[in-house]
Amino acid sequence: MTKYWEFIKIEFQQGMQYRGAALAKMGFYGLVLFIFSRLWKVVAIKTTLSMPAKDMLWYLAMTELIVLSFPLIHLEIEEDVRTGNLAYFLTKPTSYMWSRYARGLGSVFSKLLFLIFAGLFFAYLFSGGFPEKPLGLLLFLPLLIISIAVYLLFQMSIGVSSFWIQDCSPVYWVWQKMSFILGGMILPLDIYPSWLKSIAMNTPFASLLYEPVKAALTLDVNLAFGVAFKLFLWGLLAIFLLSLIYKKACKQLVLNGG
Amino acid sequence: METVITAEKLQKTFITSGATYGFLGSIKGLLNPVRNEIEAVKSISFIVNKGERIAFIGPNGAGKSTTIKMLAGILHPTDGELKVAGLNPQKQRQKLAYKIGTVFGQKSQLWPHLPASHTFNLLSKIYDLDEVTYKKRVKDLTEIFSIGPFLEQTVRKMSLGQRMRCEIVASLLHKPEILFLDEPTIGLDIVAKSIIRDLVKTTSELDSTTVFLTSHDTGDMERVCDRVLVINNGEILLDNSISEVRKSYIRRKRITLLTEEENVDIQLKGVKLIESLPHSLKIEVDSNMIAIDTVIQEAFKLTKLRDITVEDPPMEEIVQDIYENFKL
Amino acid sequence: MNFISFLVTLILTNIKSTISLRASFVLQSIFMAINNLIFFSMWWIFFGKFEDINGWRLSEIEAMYGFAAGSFGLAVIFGDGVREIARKIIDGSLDTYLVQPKNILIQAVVAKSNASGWGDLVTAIILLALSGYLTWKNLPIIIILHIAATLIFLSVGIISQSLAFWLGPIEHLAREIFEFVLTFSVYPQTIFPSAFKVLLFTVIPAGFVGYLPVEVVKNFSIPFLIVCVIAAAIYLLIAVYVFSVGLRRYESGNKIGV
Repeated sequence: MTKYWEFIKIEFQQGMQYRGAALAKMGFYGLVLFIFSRLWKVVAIKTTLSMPAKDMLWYLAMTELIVLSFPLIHLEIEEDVRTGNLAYFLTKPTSYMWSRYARGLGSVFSKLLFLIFAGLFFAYLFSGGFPEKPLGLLLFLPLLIISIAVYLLFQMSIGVSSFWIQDCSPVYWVWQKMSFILGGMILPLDIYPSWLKSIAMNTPFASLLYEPVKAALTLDVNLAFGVAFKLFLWGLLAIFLLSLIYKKACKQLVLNGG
Repeated sequence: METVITAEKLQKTFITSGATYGFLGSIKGLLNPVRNEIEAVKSISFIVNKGERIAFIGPNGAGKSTTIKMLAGILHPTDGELKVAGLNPQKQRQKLAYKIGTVFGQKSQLWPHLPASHTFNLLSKIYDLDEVTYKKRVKDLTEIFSIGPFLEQTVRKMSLGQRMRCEIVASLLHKPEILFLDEPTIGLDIVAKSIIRDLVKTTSELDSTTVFLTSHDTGDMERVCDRVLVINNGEILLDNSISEVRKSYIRRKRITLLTEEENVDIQLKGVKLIESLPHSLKIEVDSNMIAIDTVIQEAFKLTKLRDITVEDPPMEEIVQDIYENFKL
Repeated sequence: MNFISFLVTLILTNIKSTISLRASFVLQSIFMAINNLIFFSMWWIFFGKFEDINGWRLSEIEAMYGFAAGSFGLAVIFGDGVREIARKIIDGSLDTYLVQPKNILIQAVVAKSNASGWGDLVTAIILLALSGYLTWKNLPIIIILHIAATLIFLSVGIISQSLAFWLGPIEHLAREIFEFVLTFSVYPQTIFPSAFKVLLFTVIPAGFVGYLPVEVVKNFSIPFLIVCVIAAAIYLLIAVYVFSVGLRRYESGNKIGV
């Protein structure tokens, strides 16, 4: 286990070096929050939202935080597949998948460190205060980590699929946009038509984005435990999926020599 | 003879604002500018005649690429007179472009995912060649360079040697008066190298194209060129014909003998021992003092020979020799 | 005449180059269209719940997104080289164009084509058709607006990338400025305070890409159309000027990092 901890650490340290990229991400984060703070203010004048306009922005700040902290891990895996580096990793005593996973986590944490402060700052600035239940922000922290841990597994499955499709970015774009929509990244699922909401609730996306944030903002501890459990199940499914694809890929690697 | 390049007291001084990298660095640089002057080219003068093949050599940072960039119109000189193909590169860059061709060994001008013929077609438009001339030119060059078999193959899938042949064809399409070659054989194997060298020489003779070549490989210089310009620290150290240079600097040869006897010792004037191993002897021969065949005959007297290799000393040593001669 | 034939060949060579990687081309263009439409479905959900955004209804948002996607698509189909100008300045690849007799800026901009642009274009057609603004009467106007907005995208790209002539390695910043314009052009500008709108018609000219074109087709406003065209011309002039001043600096060799 300790060796994987080292992977997390080294990737975290490396992530801390890319200050330019971190600044750019923070800029984008602020930009999106600014735009939607204006949008919700305009809409809230006429219509009653499912939550206060202020919380709508905090909602977005939290879902964006999850989405923005992701490294392009699928591209790194794709690179390993294309260059044949993967075969080289297979000779090492650590599992390729778990070391990649550990590095992915390290990279996420290095980004989170900046983004959490950026999120707090921009959301406070543009919404004019803390959410209705500020304690929810603390409840969000563990949920955020669980959500990221599971999201990363799915993302890696896309990366490994580059064994068959060469260029996995397009698949990732679609996956990402699905999580925006079915995860209710911008609009909370409450305002979705009920048929769409019930579809979304049966996908991992809702548990990855909407539910953790909802639990945090309503300070609903029961819901939080429920989400954590659901994420645990989705995580198991993701591990199963990933190892299935990975095993198939390895078999192909052994047969065709990369 | 017609002169194609005249450089008189050509000079280039760079002004850099110190080590300012990135956005914050540049702001610092704006507030507190540190100006450094670097004399890349000090004051060089030379003349090149039509059809000459010049090897332009010197160590890294000697001012080679700065000079070539000035000749090609990419960089503007700080001072001095420069005429290339009858034009002023600084003021008539666009006109000059029609008259020069460039091959930069490490930068490809071919579209990697398309066959080379597609790039040729585009270049014919870039250089305003009419259809008939262009078609004929491609046909001729395809024949000379034997690129027919892979002309319609994706560039990405070509070998480096094949690609380099296509690169050179690409830069010859518009029949340039001067061809600039920067490390054209870098990374190629021996066979591919010698093919490229022969081709450059042949085409240059055919169209009396002036060739201006930089390389780290003595072979390029010896096999292609007839004149050599040595530059260091922004100054021309030597400007002479290859045969002269060979006489004075490439006079030493390295001979490796694989011998039947275990230990052989050749004691002759002009022969220097470099390395002696069981059944193997490496010596350096000064061909001004003793002929190579004399040395080999001497060796035969001492032992049976299994193998003989005669090599030039590496370029670095020749250049070193030249520098030593100029007390650098 | 020669120039036109050169430009057409240059464009076709680039497009052929993207199409030659057939699988990747199909994947990228189709998935980009799917990606855009999934992202846009947010607005369908939004307008299922809310009436309008300061007078803008779904059809205006559809048209706005259509204009932005269409002109961005055209910009990367014909001029994706623009996003690599900074890199070329820094590593000296610009030399390749300097030794050729044709215009350097045009060669640098039209140096690459991006397959995903076709997906953007498909998105634009679908959304403009859905908005109801895509009529025979509007067609010439829509085409003119697209050309103007494409030129604005390219000009912003040229200006931001040309900063590398003075500032050195700023590829990140340059790309970010480009993305900023894109991000702002897909949100209704009716939500912003007027002081901020000034910015969107000057420093970040997103207003000419999404907002103003919609106002043109909505009110069939010829004056606004002329404003768009003039704006494109002005930005293009600025871009050409900035690039040529930078190029002189490049030719003097006094750029950072020689």
